[in-house]
Amino acid sequence: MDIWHKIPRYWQERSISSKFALGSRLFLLLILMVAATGYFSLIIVGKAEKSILISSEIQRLVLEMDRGMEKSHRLYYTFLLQYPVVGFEKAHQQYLQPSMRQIAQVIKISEVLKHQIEQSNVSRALQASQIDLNLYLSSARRFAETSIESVELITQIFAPERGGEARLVIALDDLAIVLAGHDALLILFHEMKSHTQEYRIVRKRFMMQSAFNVSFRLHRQMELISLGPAEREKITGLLGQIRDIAEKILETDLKIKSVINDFSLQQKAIGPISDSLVKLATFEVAQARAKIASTHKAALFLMAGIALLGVFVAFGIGKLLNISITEKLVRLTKKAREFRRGNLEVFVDEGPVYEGPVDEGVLDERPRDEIGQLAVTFNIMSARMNVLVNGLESKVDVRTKELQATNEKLRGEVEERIKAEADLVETQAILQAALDNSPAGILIADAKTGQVQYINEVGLLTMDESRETIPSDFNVFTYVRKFQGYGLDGHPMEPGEYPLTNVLRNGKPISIEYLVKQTGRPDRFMWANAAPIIDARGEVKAGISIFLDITQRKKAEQERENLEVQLRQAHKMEAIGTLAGGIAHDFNNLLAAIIGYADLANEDISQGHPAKDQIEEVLKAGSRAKDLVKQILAFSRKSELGRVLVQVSLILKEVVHLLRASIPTTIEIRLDIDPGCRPVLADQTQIHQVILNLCTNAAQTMEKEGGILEISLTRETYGAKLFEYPGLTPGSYVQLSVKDTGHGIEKQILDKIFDPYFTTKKIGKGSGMGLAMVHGIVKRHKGVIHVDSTPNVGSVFHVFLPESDQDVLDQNKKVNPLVGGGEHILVVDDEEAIADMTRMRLERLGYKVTSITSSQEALELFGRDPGQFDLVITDQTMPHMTGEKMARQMISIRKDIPIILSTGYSSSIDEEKTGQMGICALLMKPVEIRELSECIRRVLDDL
Amino acid sequence: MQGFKSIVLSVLPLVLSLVLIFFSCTDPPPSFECTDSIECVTIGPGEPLKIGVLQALSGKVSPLGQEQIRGLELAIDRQNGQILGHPFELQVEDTGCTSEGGANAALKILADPQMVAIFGTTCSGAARTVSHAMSDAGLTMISGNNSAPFLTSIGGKRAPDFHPGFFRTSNNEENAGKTAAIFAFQTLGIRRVATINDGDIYTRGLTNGFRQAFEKQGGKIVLDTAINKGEIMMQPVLTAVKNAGAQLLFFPLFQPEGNLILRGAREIPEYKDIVLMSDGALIENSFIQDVGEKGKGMYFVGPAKPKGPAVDLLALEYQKKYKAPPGNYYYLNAYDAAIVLLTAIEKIAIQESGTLHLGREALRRAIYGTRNFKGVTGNLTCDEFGDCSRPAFDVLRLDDPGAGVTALQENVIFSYTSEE
Repeated sequence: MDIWHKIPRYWQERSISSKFALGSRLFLLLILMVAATGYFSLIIVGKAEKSILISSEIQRLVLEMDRGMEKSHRLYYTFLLQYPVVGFEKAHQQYLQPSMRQIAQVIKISEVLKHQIEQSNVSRALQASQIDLNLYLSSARRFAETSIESVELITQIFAPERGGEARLVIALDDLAIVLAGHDALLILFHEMKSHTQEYRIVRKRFMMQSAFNVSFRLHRQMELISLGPAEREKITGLLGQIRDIAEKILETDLKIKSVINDFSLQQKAIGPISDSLVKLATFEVAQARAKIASTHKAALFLMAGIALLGVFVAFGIGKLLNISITEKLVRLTKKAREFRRGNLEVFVDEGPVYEGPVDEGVLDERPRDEIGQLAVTFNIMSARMNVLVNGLESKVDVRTKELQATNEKLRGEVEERIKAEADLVETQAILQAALDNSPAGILIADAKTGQVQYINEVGLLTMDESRETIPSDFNVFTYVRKFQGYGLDGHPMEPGEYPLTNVLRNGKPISIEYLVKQTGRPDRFMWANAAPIIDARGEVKAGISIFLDITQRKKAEQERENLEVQLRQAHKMEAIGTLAGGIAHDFNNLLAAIIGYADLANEDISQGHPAKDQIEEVLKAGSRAKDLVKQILAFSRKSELGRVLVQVSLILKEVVHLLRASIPTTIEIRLDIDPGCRPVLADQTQIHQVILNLCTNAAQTMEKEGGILEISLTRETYGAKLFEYPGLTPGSYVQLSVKDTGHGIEKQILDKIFDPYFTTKKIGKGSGMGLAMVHGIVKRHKGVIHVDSTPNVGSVFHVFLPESDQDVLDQNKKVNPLVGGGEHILVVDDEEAIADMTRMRLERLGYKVTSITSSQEALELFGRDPGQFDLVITDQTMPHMTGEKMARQMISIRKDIPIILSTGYSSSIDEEKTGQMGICALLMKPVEIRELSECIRRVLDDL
Repeated sequence: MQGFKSIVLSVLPLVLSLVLIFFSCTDPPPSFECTDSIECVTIGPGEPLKIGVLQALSGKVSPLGQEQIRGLELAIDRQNGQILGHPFELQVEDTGCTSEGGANAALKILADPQMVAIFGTTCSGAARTVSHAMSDAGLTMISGNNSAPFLTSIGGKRAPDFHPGFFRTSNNEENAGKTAAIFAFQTLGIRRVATINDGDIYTRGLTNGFRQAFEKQGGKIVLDTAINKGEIMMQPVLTAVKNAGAQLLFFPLFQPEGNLILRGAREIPEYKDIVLMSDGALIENSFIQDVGEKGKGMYFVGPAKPKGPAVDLLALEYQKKYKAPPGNYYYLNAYDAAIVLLTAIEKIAIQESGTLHLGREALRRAIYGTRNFKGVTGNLTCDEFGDCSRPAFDVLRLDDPGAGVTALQENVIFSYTSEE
């Protein structure tokens, strides 16, 4: 609604009394405006008048001051002119003293003026003239000072009798008397006197200088004529006196000149100041007058304007009151008169027209003034009368029409209901089919009773039930008590904790996984999701559960996790192996040199030499170091040394030694080794692993309560007893038995213990691979493993390994190396020390040896004449070309060349591989002389 | 009751706005309190910093005054025409190179209470009265040209016309007369000398200095006389010199009196054998141009010309700004004087949201405290008497007037540095 509609409406809504109040307030405001205008005009005019007064006063003072200054100057100049005429004292009295009084007056006025300007509220320009006024004041003071000074100076020259001029005249007169009679001197005296007189008139210094110059000549002339000494002295004295007075006059005149110059400068300085001050003051007065005139004019216009506005406002308000009160009353009276005459359909324009019956609530729909409200009341009254008068028939008609409409509506609704019911049946059929054929089990139960309302076939199957087996009152609250569920963290579940029972209780959807254990049935992992079914009132009416048997999936997950652990372990060990291998290679090379050279030295030293024993010690230490490297390699599981003859008893002792340190003291270890045990052909490391695993398992079963760990190693020959241990072939075995007094193994899982990943230990305690590995190793060694166990009594594991018919060589046995027969051997090793050492050793054995440190050079040498060598001994790890690669190429040149490969350590080389390549033998560094000689002879003799 | 309420409602806004207007017109109280023992000058935001410039700007001596103003202008240019965000306002007044001229010009400067300092004067005679008046008024004054010993110190003691607040970067020519006397007696072998001054304290200072030193060495002053400023007849005084039998005439005068003496001497045949010597006031291009060949062979005693890269650089700036070479080198002293003054102002100014407060006594103290200030004329250290430079004096001879003042300044015949 725009403003033009808002204002009339607002006006209509006001009460009559507030309309009158508004009108009178407007009048009051106008009166106040007139008063304010008058008040401000008076203030402005008052200020301007004050400014005129001050400015006029300033003007008057400036003029007075200026007049005084001028008068003072004039009197002073008159004094300067008149004192030679009227006499100094008279002139002083008549002119100089009034001049001084004038200047004192000027100083006084200028001080008043300064004060006036400082105190009053004058314009900025006039205030700035304070600087000029300062100058005026100081100039006036200076004039006074210099005037007095000048008077003193003038007195010094012109005062009668004692003044300079008077004294000069006297001195000159005296000199004239003395010089009388000396014509030549008198001529000069007169010349001098005339120069002096000239000076006294025009007061130019050079004239006095001329007089001085003549005086000089006078002195000279005196020397040319004869004069008495007294006379001469007198003349000289008088001339000196004249000169002194003249000098004094000159000096004083210079000062007077300076003072006069000063006066003219002062006049120049202050003249413009008074002019400008007068001008400023005049301007100020003019401005103030103009301001008064303009204020008068403005006030007049303003007041006339307000008065005119008052007239208009009075007229407007009168008109408004007439329209909104008097005219309305006249109209209302006219209509009332008509109503009185019987015309019931009369409505007043000021109020709304009503038709039909009128509720009390609509009476005052918007605010009105009193007449407006009267009009509304009138119109309502009229309308109600009309309603009463109009007959009841029209009312009946209306009701009938309304009933017909209601019937129509109801009919439509019935038809809609029938159609909806048909749709519902169809939807239900679809839903039933979906539920019945779902791949997951679905169960619906009543919220209050827990009674199962629906369960599909898959649901029954998952629960390992059928329509026949389920109880007639299949109730979830009771059914959950038939089995025990466990959460994934292992805690036993409460009956209310299962998804469906939970939903029925809490009404919140839930989805969980759990393990179901039920007697006579396999354990199952379940996944179930349950949600509430809410009725129209928003209450939980029933619960629906969808569930799946996820046992298979869980198993698969478990296996995957185990495999990952295994893989990580393998990676870790591989890294350690690589590292250990690298160290072992370097270390073996060093040992080769140590042992080799010590060997050579040993040979060179005769028996009984004190160094002999020391060298033996070096060799022993070297041998121990060699074993140590082997152990490192074995530990890293990277040693592919293959199967060698192994004394199991030694490994067993090592393991027991290790176990003692790691198992609790509550476990007693009993060890029984049959000394008649023969060696077995085996991988030392793997055998070590087997014994360690079995012993560790045994110890762990006794960890809590303690017990006895019995380990025995015996030699057994089986022929008839074969049936006792299936898989065993007749023959002699080394039997290892590990027995514990732990909790034993349940019968039903006894056949599973060798399965990979089977474990009874807690998570983190074992991988489930230990026994599987043991089983694998024993199998690979053509052996058999067997277990006997009684729950709560203990278990015993028997391992049978076929014994070897070979004997383990005695490392410490002294055997003389086998000597050569002058065969030509090519020795290749990038380590110069080793190459040299090998050459020396072989030469001592009686071979012809060529040693080379580069594999490429060796190949070249070999290529030039392949027939010259009977045997090649090469290192494996060499720069540019490995021993293996070089050997291949040599074999391709000469197929029957025997080659021995010696290596510090190589992960990529083993005996099997070298054999396939055509390499005759593989020696592990460091090689002892005996081992080397044997190997050479074996290779050469095999040919 | 209703009527009263409506009256209040109508009048209230009017009253409220009047109250607001009244309070908005009241100034906030000033926060600065002056503690200076003399007084403080307060320069409002955007208002100029006023400096009175009193120099000799009329008559023959005006080139000296003009060079002083140029030195000041170059220093102001260096400040980019403003100081601490305020522009400069220079009130330039002519002293006419006389003491009364100085006194009246000083009155004009001192009439303005906003005046911070005075830059001047050219002539020591004018400086005598200005120094007195400005010192009484509490101002500070610095000159690049005044050299009379009377203004500061004589023989290390306070001189008669010393007044606190007077400073100069020009040389105290106490030793100029002495330099001339030593040169005359020892180098030229002169024993009889006549001196002429013009009654001004500057020229009197020089002739007095000469007399003392010359007589001390065994020489004789045969004539010690004076002429008046503005005098044109020089024959009588020249005759007196001749009569006195002087071998050398020492006349440390200004232009035009110096010019007249020289011209007059050249017209008298006897002066062929009399050595003529003047002072620094005539080491000026305008003088050389005026006297021309007549000046040939004349000696001058004056302060040694400053040298160095800073001097050359300023000379280039001078040439660029005024499109002419410098008429003398005293603009260098003027430049230094201005820089010393402006630096001191910057140092003592208390800034308060665009307003500057300058203590008059603080300004004096700051300049008295100047130590080893790097000026173009050398290192400046102001002593307790207001002398800021360490003078050295040269005796020059005019051999080639056509080559101008520069050639004269280069033609150093004798040098003397004070024992200090």
